[in-house]
Amino acid sequence: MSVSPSARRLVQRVLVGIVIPVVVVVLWQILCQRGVFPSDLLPAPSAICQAFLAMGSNGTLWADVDATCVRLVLGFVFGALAGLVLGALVGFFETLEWLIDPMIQSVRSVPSLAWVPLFILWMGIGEGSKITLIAVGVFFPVYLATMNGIRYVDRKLLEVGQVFRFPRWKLIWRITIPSSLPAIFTGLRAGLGLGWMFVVAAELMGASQGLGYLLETGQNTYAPELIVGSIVLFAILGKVSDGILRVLERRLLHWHDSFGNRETGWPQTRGSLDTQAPGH
Amino acid sequence: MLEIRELTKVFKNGKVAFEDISFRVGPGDIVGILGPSGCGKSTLLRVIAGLEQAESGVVSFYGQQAGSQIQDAVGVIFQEPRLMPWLPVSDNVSFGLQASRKTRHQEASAILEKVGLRGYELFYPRQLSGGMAQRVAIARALVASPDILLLDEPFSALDAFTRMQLQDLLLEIWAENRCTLPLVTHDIDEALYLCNTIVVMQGQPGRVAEVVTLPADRLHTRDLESLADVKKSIFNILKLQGASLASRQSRTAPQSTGSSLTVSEPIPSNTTSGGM
Repeated sequence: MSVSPSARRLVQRVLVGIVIPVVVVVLWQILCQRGVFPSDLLPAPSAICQAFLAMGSNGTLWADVDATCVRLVLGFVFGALAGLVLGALVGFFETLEWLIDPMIQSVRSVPSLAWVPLFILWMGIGEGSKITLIAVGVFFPVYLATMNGIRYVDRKLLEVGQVFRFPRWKLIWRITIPSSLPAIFTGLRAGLGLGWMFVVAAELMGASQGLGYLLETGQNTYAPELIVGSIVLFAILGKVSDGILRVLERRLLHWHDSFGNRETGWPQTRGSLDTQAPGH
Repeated sequence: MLEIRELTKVFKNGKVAFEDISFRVGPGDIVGILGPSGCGKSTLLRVIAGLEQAESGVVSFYGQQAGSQIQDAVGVIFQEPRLMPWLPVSDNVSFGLQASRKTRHQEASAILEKVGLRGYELFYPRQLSGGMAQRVAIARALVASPDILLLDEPFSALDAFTRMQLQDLLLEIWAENRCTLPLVTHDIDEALYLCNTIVVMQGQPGRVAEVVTLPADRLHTRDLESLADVKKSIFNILKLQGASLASRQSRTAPQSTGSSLTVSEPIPSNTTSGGM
């Protein structure tokens, strides 16, 4: 049974990538057992695992993870959609930029937590205000990236379409949108990162479920294993969600220079490469 | 076929790109538009292509005055390949085609074969060398089978070896299709090799200094010895200063749609023009 080179490289990368986390956890465990860290401030990894396994087996942990993920996904979808639509409109129409971009830019500089009281006033402390806050966080990077991606599409590529007498919609569909996808994806990933920040802020301001709520509970009940465990879970979830976007990005943007992995990027062709490259 | 009459282009900043350009291109001609950088020759080509509008003057195809839109029969090859990086080679080639996926694929393959890139259908632009990418660009322009193929310094970004290969490829394609090829270049040797007529532009703003018609028995030869006197006369034209250019221009401009200088007398077998 043969393993493809790219699969072997992936395994290698993962193995190298987990070296430091493993070393840290082992050291941490040893130091805790020796009593170097007071266990009421920094519990041992084993204690955290026990606490979370117990919560996992009685189901409360999944309800918390589920609540946080649903909020994040909904906030991300609404924020990203708004960012894409407005960013595209402002990117395409210069007048619209003059009209709304100054306002959006000034709203952007409002610290995110400043929105919290207003949203609670408007929507109560239910899901609505939380999802809105997350959406606001996701919106700005997506909006900016989309606007810039569309604005700075290469004029030289557009001329190729003009020479073929493409109508405007076809120029947009076949040139502007594909060429701005790399920028848009960068914005989406930045937006997702901010979304995770905002989901914690939203849950800290009053929730009865969710990882942020778990953080707060840990603080109020003097249970450091809840706090540290939630932080670790946030790290894992953030990494997984970013990984999903990265897989999508690779799928859609494999042509892009930044994925320039020439050895693995060559598709199969009929015939030999060397003899067929007269222009080389 | 293609006629330019008293064409003048002024940039938005008020700078005049070229003025009072007139010449005529016959069907199947390869016409070089030769001149130093800054004389507006690329802009002239862009105006002919319809990518930019002239201030005054007329561009007409087949005696029909071109409006503001881009002409059906016109294809353009730019200095850079300008391939869509997200499309594989075959989709880049068929970019301008409106047909079913299968037809587009077949046509792309047929033309790729012609430009020597069979088997590269699934490659992406970033995997191609400069010369290969420019071949794809040539294929993309050819797939729409244009009557007039405008070339804007198409080989200037390539190394000398690749450039010669692609010049020969262009002549092969021309021999087959007999399309009309207005070619902007700053390379005198390239113009002498490829073209049968050379429009020499000079000055800022650019004007037509001369229209040189090459002797019919000296076309498409890399033997530049036999074209030494033509080359010398072009050198002389390009060295003209502004004042004498203006007086020459005023003499020849109204009739310059034809050929004002025809170098068709037999060339002495023993060319002794040194200092090339």
